[in-house]
Amino acid sequence: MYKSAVVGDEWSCGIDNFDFVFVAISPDLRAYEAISIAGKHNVGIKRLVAFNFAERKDIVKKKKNSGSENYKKLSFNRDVIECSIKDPSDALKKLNLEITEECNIAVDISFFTKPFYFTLLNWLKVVHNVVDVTIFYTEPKNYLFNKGLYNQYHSSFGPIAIEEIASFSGIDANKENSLLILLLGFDGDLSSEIDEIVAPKKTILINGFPSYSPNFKDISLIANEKIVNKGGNKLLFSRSTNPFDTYNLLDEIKQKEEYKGLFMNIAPIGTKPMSLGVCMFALHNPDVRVIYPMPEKFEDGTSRDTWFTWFYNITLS
Amino acid sequence: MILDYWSNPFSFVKFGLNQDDVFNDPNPIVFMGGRGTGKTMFLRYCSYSVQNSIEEKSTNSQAQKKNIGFYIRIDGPILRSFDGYGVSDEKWLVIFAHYFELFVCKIYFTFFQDLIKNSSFTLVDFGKGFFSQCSNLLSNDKAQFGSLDEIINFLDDQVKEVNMYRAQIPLKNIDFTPTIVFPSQYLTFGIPQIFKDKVTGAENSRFILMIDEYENFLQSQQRIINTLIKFVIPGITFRLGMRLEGFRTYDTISKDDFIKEGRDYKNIVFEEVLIKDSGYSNYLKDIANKRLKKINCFVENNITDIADFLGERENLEEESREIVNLKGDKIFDHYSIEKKIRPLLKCQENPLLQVLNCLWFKRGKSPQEINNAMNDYLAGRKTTDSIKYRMDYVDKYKLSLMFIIATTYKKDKKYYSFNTFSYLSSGIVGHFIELCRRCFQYAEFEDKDDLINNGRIAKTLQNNAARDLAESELQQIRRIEKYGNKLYVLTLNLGETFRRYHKDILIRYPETNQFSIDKTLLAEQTKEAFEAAQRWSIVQRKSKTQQQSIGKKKNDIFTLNRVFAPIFQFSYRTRGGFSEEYNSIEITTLMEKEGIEFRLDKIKVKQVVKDSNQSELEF
Repeated sequence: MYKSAVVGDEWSCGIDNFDFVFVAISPDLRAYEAISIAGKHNVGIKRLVAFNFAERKDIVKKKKNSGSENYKKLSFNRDVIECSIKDPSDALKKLNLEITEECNIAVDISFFTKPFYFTLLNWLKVVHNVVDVTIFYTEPKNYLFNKGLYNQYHSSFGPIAIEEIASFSGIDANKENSLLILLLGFDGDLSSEIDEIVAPKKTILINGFPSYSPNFKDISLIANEKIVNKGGNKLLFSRSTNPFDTYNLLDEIKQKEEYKGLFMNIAPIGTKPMSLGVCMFALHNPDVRVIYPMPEKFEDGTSRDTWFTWFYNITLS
Repeated sequence: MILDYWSNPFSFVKFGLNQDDVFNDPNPIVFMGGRGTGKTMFLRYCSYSVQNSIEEKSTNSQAQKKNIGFYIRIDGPILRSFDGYGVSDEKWLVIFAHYFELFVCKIYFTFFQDLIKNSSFTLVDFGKGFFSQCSNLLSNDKAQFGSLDEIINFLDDQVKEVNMYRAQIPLKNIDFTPTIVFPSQYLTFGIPQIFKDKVTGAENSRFILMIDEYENFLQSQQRIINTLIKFVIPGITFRLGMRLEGFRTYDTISKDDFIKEGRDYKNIVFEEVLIKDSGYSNYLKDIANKRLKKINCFVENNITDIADFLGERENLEEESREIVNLKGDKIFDHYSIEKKIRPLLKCQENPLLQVLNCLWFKRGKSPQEINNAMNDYLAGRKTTDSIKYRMDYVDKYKLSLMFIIATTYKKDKKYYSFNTFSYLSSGIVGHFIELCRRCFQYAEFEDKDDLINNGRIAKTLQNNAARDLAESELQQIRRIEKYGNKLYVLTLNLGETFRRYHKDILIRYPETNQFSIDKTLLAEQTKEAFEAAQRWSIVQRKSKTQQQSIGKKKNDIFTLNRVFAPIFQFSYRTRGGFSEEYNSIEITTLMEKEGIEFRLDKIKVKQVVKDSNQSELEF
């Protein structure tokens, strides 16, 4: 059982007072959509913890007029955490917040990078014993395909390093053979690279279907043609908008006899909601490893405008 | 799987050692080569699990039976996780050494378990003495192990402690407090010794640790392994697989000691050997044909030779005719040849010869002399000029002439045929396989009947495949950690430079696609980036130093990987001869800004206007 719905005209997430809400400061208004909606519904937020990433400072300043610093206008008490997008560990270790397991906590993952929010949620679980968290995610209205629809889309550019997401190294890493589960995105080069680096015994590809837009599922398959066609690889589908669907699929895979005894690696390159499913699954199964292609630089403008804002009530353990 | 597709490189290519040496040589050996050169396949093949399968077929030599290869690969993300998070380098060094000892030890014990399971090794008996010594070594006698399973469980628990630490240190500052800490060498050398001492029949066995992807080990981690290599003891040795320039350091743990090629290890560079060895193309053919023989429809139609699908060699005459399409005057226009002499230089049947005729004319031969030489050559008559004409055409310029035709008609030269693909792959077997894969994919989609029934893949489709791979490899350069952008720009600049050489209608430097640098003079960061280019096989060093050009000093010569040739339209082979020569500042500049070129004036053809207002080209 899980709870998730759209918030907007109605505030349906069931929590009217949050002790902490974590957001990432961003040039895009979408980053503050959830807290703006909360504000409109008079939802209490005792402390807004806003991560101000050094890598985004320039663009945030540049887009001041279009609302990139709108979080300042909201009446919530706030802590602005100066940190690097590349080092969630350093940022979190320095945080000194009185978080207890009873606190009502929300994280808006819309503008956190996947590696950052994964580590943030694990930090809440391991360091503060938090069990229940509300996740907000505001969907973009449009994705930007600068090189054309069926050409390559990159959510990052330049050099990448494929790394374990901090704190998701998986305690079963001494198993002889491994299983790689790749959530396909539009960035086709990455999937082959990850497959080569993990060198798994078996690879499962998960494509987002139904996807946000009907042709997205095809774009991802075309972009990932090489790995999709590699002999022996299995292709599965999971709803791209529903983290719990991804979670259930991963759970199903893990239970299968043919994959028992394999060290499970998951690469959440797909959509944000799918990655949330991976995050929940990895939090509940610390034996699995989560890897991610860490870029030297994330693209700033890969999407535009806001669409629905979702909440998901999840458990961390 | 490995055995199904295994093609033994030693059967085709001379590496300077034979297959038994890989097992018998007590000294460490390093196998260097780019991604896809076959290092992993090779090391895996030499591992005991694959050798054991061969053993069952009884084709193995006695040498291989007593030498046990252990394939060891720790992936990059794990290796890099032993770094940072506020933990000092010294602490990580201790933790990694401990982890590595456990990792290798687990592999040893898994092998021991296999020995018991495997009926072909019935001589092995793990007795009390063995377990007693293992208990002492592994736990200072705090635990008394009575079975291999117990030991493996113990090792798993120890590894789990390390993994728990790796998982938690990013979240909170904690100390690493394992049950027991194993220093470097303790188990990697200790367990084989116990095995040899205490297990009947194992006295003469040699443990060969085959560590793959050594370039992924961090500098401090390499120092640990380098120390093991430096101080190998009888009965244990190492084989390392790594990219070119994969040593991050030659240092050992001791600050005063380092490892040195020749003294401490032998170095075999896969790529260099494969590129230059004449057996390489047969090796590729064997690899491809083994795969084709696994496909029923091809076996049924008796088409299992890759050269049949691709064609053995390209047909330049035919290709040039297709481009020229009976409109040969454009060649004359390109060379500014006067109309009245054109008939003597014309060769409609073979436009390549027509270009050669123009070239000879621009070099001072008279139209009649050229016409005579061509006709004598075509008729098989040997005259001084016809012999020279033949040499220029067949041995020297044929491919260059093709590039001139492509330039003249603003078309791309096509890259097709087994021979071309063999060259394009640049010693990287993986490139060749990928070229073939893409060809078959195109053919299956566009002309399945011709593929299955006739075993043919059209040259246009082959060219598409070659172009796709080149584009894909080029795009991937940007993704290379740390220096991706610099290397991408370097590739573009080098590619464009070589393209310009191939457009030179006087063919002053035919098929130039190599350059020389003195790496020792490169600025520190440029050198690091350049080594990354070598590590990723973007540039490839030629096996011997060469004169940059006639009369100049000997230096290292590098080629731009020929897989990029279809993008930049340069030759798929490396002829030698002239090399573009760069100094440190120039290489740095070539890495930083697109559109950079040096000293290309020498191949420029200037437009001059004569008194008669007639435009001419000045050479």
